[in-house]
This record gives sequence, C-alpha cells and structure tokens, in this order.
Amino acid sequence: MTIIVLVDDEPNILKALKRALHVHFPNILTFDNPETALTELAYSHVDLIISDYKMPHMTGVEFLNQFKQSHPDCLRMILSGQADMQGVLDAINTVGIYRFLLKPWNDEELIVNIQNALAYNKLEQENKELLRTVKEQSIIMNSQLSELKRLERESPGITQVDLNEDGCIDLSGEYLDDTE
Amino acid sequence: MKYSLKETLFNGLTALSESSFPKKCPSCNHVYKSAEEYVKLTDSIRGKSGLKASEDDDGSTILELFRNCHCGSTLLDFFKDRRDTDEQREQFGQLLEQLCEAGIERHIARAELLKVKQGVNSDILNELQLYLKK
Repeated sequence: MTIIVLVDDEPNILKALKRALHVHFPNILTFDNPETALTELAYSHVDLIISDYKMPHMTGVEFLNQFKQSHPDCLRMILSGQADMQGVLDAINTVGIYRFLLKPWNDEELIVNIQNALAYNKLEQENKELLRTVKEQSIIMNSQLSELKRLERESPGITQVDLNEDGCIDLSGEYLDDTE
Repeated sequence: MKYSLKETLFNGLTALSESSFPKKCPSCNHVYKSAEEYVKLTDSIRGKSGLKASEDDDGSTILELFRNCHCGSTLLDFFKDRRDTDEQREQFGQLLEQLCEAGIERHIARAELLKVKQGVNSDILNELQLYLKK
C-alpha cells in the first residue's frame, strides 16, 4: 500500500491536490500544520511526502529536514507558489528533495512525477536490499573461508579431500597412486 | 467605464461555496472579505493568471484560482464555471449511479465518465455498450 502525505497550510490546496490525485493514489493523508504531521507520522510508514514551501510555523525545507530524520527512505517533494531561488537551493542541498514543483500544478504532470518518484524509490529500496544481502553473504563466506584456512593449517590437505556421492572420503585416487 | 485585464478576466467569477469568504490567510491572518478583494489585494503567481480548471466529484468543472498573499503564502479558492449547467451535473450524477449499480467501483466509474466527457475513449464504458452524448 503506497502512502502519500500532503502538507500545506492552505486547506483548499490540500482539497485540490487530493481531488487531482485520489483516483491514482487512494491512500493520501493530508495535514495543514507541519508540526502535527511530524507528531502524527512519527511512527508511520510514508512512501512520498509533498510539502508547501512557505508555511507559518516553519518552512517546507525545515519541515522536510526534520521529517527526513525519522523517515530517511521517504521521498520528498516541495510544491510552491514562489520560485525563490534560495529556497530551491536549500531544498536540494539541505533536504535532498526529489522535485521542486510549482503552483498551480498541471494534474497530469504531477501524477507522472509522483509515479516516477515512486518507481525510483522502489528501485532504490531494492538496490539497498541487494546490497544488504551481498554484505551478509560476504560475512558468511569470509567466516567459512577463515575456518577452511584454520583446518588446513591444523591438518594440511584436509580441505583437498574428495568425497563420494554418499559423503564418504574417496581414497580411490590414492590407491591408484600407490599401485603405480 | 474601462476595466483592467485583471478585472475583465475575473469578472463574474462566483465563489463555489458561499462560506469561502471572508477568507483568512493561514500564514499572516490577513482577511479577504470577498472574491473581489481576494483578486485585487493579492499578487498573481509569477505573472500568470493562476487559474486552473479541475473536475469536481460530480463531474462539474471547477475553476481554481491561485493567488499569492502579500506575505508570500499561496492561497487558493474555488469558483464555478459558468459554462457548466445544473442539467449536466445531474446527468453525470445519474450515469455515475448507474455504473456503480452495474458493479463498477465508484472511483473507476467517475474516472471513466470524466474521460468520455473530455472526449477520450473509455474501453470500460464501450464494453458495457454505454455511449454518452457529449
């Protein structure tokens, strides 16, 4: 279940966004106060968060920066009516936002941006998962390798022993070598 | 009497909900007493009209008017599209109910009806052999 969170101090913007998105993304949570969003979402899974930039208690950058601490894997976007260059730079450099979008938005573009963001995030999570698996397997392999080295040190040749189909030590090669 | 472009563009807009005004900016608490004040005392968004058309749940067209308050916060209010008639809304509502009764989920039925209204082909409605008058 994909959870999308919208944060904007103007309730009408939340209504309009929800109206534009709910057919494609049925699980949308809205907050008109960033502090409430931080409190209520502290322990909830969120896939994507879209925040306004200029809000009364904190800017979108400050809000997303705090949200990032509790939800590092959640994708972040800003939707603003102001094309303030400093705000855009802060958003990119400080919070690592995925997109800085402008109001009024185009519904189709917004939907495509969200779909791309979710696909990108899924790929990112899969990559992280694969990396985790590789690291875990590497730890197991290193431990097995050091055990083999220990055995070889204590009993030279023990790791070269051939086993037959039943798991028994196969000495046929040695027997042949002796007769020759 | 001469009207400015801004006055001409927004002349006749009717707030969708009578309770929309007075409207308070959540950031600076400035109160806009009427739609007229909302247009006159706010700034355009990056020099554009800030008007955007959207579809309401009943299929009617809503005009969304985005404006920037002097404090910099972006505000939005909804207005009626004068071209949209009560008869069209009623017809849309009836069709939506029929599709729901036919077993189609409401949000899918609504999306398909909107597609047809916008002149886009709907495979689902075609399958049901429903043809709508545009």
